[in-house]
Amino acid sequence: MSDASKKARRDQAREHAREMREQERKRKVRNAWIVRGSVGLALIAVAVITVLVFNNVRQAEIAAAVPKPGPENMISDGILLQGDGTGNIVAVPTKAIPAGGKPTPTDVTKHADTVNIVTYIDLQCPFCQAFEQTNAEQLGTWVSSGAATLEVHPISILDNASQGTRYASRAANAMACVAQYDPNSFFQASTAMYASQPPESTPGLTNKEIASVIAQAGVTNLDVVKCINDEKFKQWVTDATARTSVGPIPNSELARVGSTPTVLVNGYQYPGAPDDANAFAQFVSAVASGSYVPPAK
Amino acid sequence: MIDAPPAKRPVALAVTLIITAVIGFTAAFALTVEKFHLLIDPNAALGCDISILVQCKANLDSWQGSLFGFPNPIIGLAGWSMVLVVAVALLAGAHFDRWFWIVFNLGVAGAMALVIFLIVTSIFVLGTLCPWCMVTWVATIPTFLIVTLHNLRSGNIPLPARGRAFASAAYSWIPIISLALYLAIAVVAQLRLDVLGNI
Repeated sequence: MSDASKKARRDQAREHAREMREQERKRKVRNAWIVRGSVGLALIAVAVITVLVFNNVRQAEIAAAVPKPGPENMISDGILLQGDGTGNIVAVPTKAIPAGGKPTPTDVTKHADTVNIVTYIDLQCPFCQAFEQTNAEQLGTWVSSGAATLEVHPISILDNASQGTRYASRAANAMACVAQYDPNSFFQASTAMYASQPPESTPGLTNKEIASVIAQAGVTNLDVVKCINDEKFKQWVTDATARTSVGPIPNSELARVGSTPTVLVNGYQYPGAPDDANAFAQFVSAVASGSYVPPAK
Repeated sequence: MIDAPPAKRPVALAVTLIITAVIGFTAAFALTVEKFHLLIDPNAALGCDISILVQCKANLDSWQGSLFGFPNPIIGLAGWSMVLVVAVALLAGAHFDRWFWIVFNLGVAGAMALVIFLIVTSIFVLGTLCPWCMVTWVATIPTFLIVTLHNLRSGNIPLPARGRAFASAAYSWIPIISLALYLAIAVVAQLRLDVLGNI
């Protein structure tokens, strides 16, 4: 055999071995990626399943919750305050929303000779605090003198602002407790709650601290304390808040409550600054006199 | 990057770092600009404010958003620029001494520590998910992993042979480890904030 053909065979064998090695290498790379891809997909599956399971548990809890009636004196989801003719602010007594039932909006035709002010507020919301602290005095004067009614809807949209303690919901529940057991003190209790409003991104007040704030405002009913501790109207707070975000908002053209405070005067939304008492007084008198022209849509 | 023995020119490392640095820099830049908007008008509606849950205003306005007395994204602007330069230099064949790698590793470890703090803050304290912040998290995690594992496997950080072999094996798993961490954060955020129910 010639040297040349030997060399050719050797080269061929070498080439063959090289190809085998190359294929082996490619196979290893491919397998490595298949393993990693499978692990990745498995991880995604585990994550999705975890979330689904927890979501189901959460929804099952909601579904299993036995419907309970809402707070008394808040059949409209709000408490209606008016003057009693002798300079005091009193609540209009109503039944509670029945278990699993819907609210009954206030019949404003029965209050045609007063300016009807409706507020949607979150006790964690700084702008609501600004509105309250700016306008509480004149609101109190208008309502106690019989010139206006005030319907307060406590809702809870800022539960995310209290490090997981759900202060906004617990505070709204506390106001519902006052509405049920000591409705005529609602206005004072509300003022006290705003005065003690915790800053956002703090744990807020405990139920005990809320009860003590409300007690200092003159609400000493033990049922209120128990109601705050048990979060008796937790479900109502959730439902009432959901109703405002879905809408429509009764006795107004408003589709939904998009932010707090939402302040309506005879159904017209107050567009001004929450901390401008004069602007609000002018708005109220313009609406009351019929000279207010709402902005074109 | 699979099967590649520690080469003279760590191409996978350099390319990964270039990608994460560009992403991280973009996020830091966007957050810095949003911060300017907030300083001009504290009530400004930011492009990244989508809902109460998905927003960056709360994060930018919080004290944790200016942890060292100035807005955090400024750290990102400087830090990601450095990562980019190092990565491009590596691609161009630069050689760095051991001490350089260790200092660089300390830097990305600091970034990782800051990001862990900010993730916990965002999910558990502020109760928000800030889009550009999340982009920063996404970029920082693989950056930390790849730099640290590279240093461990190549002996820049001294380790017994077995540890080096482990780091070398883990190196090819970085995409999957990153994915696992992303998913873990997503699940925690979902359980804590019910993201899907609040969008």
